[in-house]
Amino acid sequence: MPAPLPSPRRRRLLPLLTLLVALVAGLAACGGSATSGGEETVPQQGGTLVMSYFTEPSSLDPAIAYNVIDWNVEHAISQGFFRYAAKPGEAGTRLEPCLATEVPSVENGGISPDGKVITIHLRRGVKFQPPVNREVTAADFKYSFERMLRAPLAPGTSFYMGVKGARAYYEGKADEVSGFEVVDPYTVRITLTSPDLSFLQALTMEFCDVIPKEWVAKWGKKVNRHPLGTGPFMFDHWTPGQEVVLVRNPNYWEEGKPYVDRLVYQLSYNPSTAFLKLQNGEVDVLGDGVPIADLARVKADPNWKDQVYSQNLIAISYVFMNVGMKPFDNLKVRQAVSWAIDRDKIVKLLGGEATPLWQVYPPGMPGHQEGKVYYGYDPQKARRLLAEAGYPHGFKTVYYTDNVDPNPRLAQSIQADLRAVGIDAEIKTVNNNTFYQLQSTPGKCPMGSFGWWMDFPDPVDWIIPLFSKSSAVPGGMNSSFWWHPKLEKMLAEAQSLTDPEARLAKFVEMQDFIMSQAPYATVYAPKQTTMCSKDTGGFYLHPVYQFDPANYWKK
Amino acid sequence: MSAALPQDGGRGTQAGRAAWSADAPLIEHRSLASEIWRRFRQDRFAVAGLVVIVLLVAVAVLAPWIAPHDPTKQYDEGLTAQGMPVGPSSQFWLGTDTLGRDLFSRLLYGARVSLVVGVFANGFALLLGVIFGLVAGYFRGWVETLLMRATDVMMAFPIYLLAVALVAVLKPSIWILILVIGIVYWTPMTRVIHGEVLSIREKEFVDAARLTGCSDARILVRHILPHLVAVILVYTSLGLATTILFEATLSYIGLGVQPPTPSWGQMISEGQPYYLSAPHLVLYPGLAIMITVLAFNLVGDGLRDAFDPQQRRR
Repeated sequence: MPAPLPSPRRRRLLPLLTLLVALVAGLAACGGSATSGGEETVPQQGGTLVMSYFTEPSSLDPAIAYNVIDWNVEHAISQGFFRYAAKPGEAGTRLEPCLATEVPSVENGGISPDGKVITIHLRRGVKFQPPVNREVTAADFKYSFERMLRAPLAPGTSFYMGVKGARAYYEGKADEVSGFEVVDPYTVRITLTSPDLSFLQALTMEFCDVIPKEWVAKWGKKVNRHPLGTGPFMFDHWTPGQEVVLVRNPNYWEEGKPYVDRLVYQLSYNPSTAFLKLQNGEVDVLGDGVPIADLARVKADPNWKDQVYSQNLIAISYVFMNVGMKPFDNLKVRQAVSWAIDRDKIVKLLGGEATPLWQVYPPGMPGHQEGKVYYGYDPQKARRLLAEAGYPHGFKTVYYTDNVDPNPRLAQSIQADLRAVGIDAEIKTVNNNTFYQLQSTPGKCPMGSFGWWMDFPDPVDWIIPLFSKSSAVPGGMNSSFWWHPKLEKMLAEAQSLTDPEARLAKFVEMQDFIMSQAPYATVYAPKQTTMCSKDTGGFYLHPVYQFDPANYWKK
Repeated sequence: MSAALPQDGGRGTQAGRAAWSADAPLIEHRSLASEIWRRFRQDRFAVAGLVVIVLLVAVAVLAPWIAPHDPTKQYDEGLTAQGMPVGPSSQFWLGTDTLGRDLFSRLLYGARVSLVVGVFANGFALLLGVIFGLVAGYFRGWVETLLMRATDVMMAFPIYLLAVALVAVLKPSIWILILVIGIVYWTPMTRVIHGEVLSIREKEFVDAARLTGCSDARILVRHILPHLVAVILVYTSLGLATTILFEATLSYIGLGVQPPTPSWGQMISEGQPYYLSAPHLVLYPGLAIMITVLAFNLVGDGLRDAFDPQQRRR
């Protein structure tokens, strides 16, 4: 409250004061946007953004982490050569430079005409977050890449075996990856054994994010709980079961970003609780989406419907069948399960937030065959196949699922479908991280529900982690532990093709073969529907990253 | 001078004559059971509770015959076009649940789980409690110290955490649930029995029994135990209320019977995200639990009042 001014000064200060008051009032009018209709296009600095998830990250070490929540948090902290454009829809699936100065291509000379040599120029003056504080150089990238190849249980190494010398290094036969060269402190040259149209995208996965050597030396294995990189937010603390808190990176190289000062990942609210908390103003973004029970209601509520955002996810949900455990080693049994599941019922149970999936590639993924249906819903056929396989009276088994709604409910629906054809499945519900461990350990889970979300929009992202020999190992994502020499050959052939059309055709052939072997019963492709709070600005859904907190602000 | 007992039944005095006149109320011999029943009958709430329990047991036993639908069958018409549960209709008397199953049938079958777990778990707890209480109270000494301190330790344990840990290690099923609830719940019974035995063992008939050469076992079972009937009955009825609630809680957190077998606690857990859009999913199982627990509490209170000799008759 301004104190009454002594007279002599008054005449000079009064106009100044009026100006100040007018300015403040003007700014307040721009900044205030109480209703969801207000278009606030000027980002505000400051504030705390709270995102709610019901799962704990398993690790924040870029070399090892592969869960959706892990990558969501990592994306705010660590960076690599490139990233996806910060736009919704198809525009967000294009690469743009991040720590590199440009995306290499044949046109700009970054990729050699034979497609085997990639030269990347680094941005200068990018610093690691405190307390490391020094500039990032090409040697840091080489270190991070080689570390990832040799990290125990690293799930992503199979994407990079095309780099010359990578396999030798991975198997311990060489001291470095000869194909990953430091030409000078700001130039990296990568040589591939054969051209690979998806390699730049593979490089954009979090596995290749840069991490300083001295930081890893300081923390050793515990670096998975103390991440550090060059991203807009730096790690502050992680209270297990409660929250992960990130704060603004003072060294960040992009001017004006991030907008918010603190980014909090709330880990303890289940989707229903998070939804209530968002309406109360305690949570800003629902990481797990709007609960299905409340979806219809909130979309019709005039107070909240503008805060609801949707996108089709390039992702799949399926039932895996462990070919290492009886009776799923029998092809006819697996095919029977593929015929037994009522996918339309599942989509209905999801409130329409999904499309039934009859093939491996979901809509939006190159290689998806519009209208193609490999199996269907035919319990009679399923029973016949089971009888042919030697199980006329069905069999008993155990079905695993995680505990995040709606998975336990969908598991019950599938259990009923299986029972209708004679398969007596007992449901075991476990928490998320236990589930990830179990499904990647051979001999543990005979069958269960699993999901796969796109890392990058290329079918090789489906084939390698889910169907290849290199992922049918402990710690891998191939929960069926299925692979086939014929598929390995087809994959190698496809990867060596430089013509995108021919390459894609090969991937479609692979889908035909995989479906005939039925290691998974594909069920649905999910839609993501979530909400943000009324004072979150700049919110949009990203096709690859889902969320982009560096570009959100608090009004 | 010894006071001889009157040979004439007290009719010699004037007061006695009044008491023994023809229009004095007849004092008939009654057994303990019928006396207790008579006093219990006079408490209307207790009788109401008993009626509810009898109905509940009948419903649970007859569930396969009176349930209109299979409780595990997921009906297509049990879900709206948006995949939400439907409300009460002629086909589904109380509506359906999140998977299109008939809620009423599930409630009936859920009663079976609640009662079976309640009865067996409580029975198991009762057995442990009576044995430990009797032995500790009668033999005293180091046996008593050992047993009662063990009981104290168990009582200090957070029982829900212990139950959660135990069930997480062992595979969840109805029998593991009974075992776990019994193990966690024997402590109050032990303490009460122990206290009662401490006072009963001082009574003269116990000395008399010992003098006539009865073994300890015979004294415990034949002479002391019958005096504990009151306490056991009362605490069992109250215990049934608690164990049923405990079962509902464990099922609510996913450690009870596994789907698709219905249990009231599990039904509340499944229906909870829908409490704003389809409140009947939590309302009916919740009411069922409440009424059952209330009924057992009323019966327990009624029994306790009936056994209490100082209780004034209404």
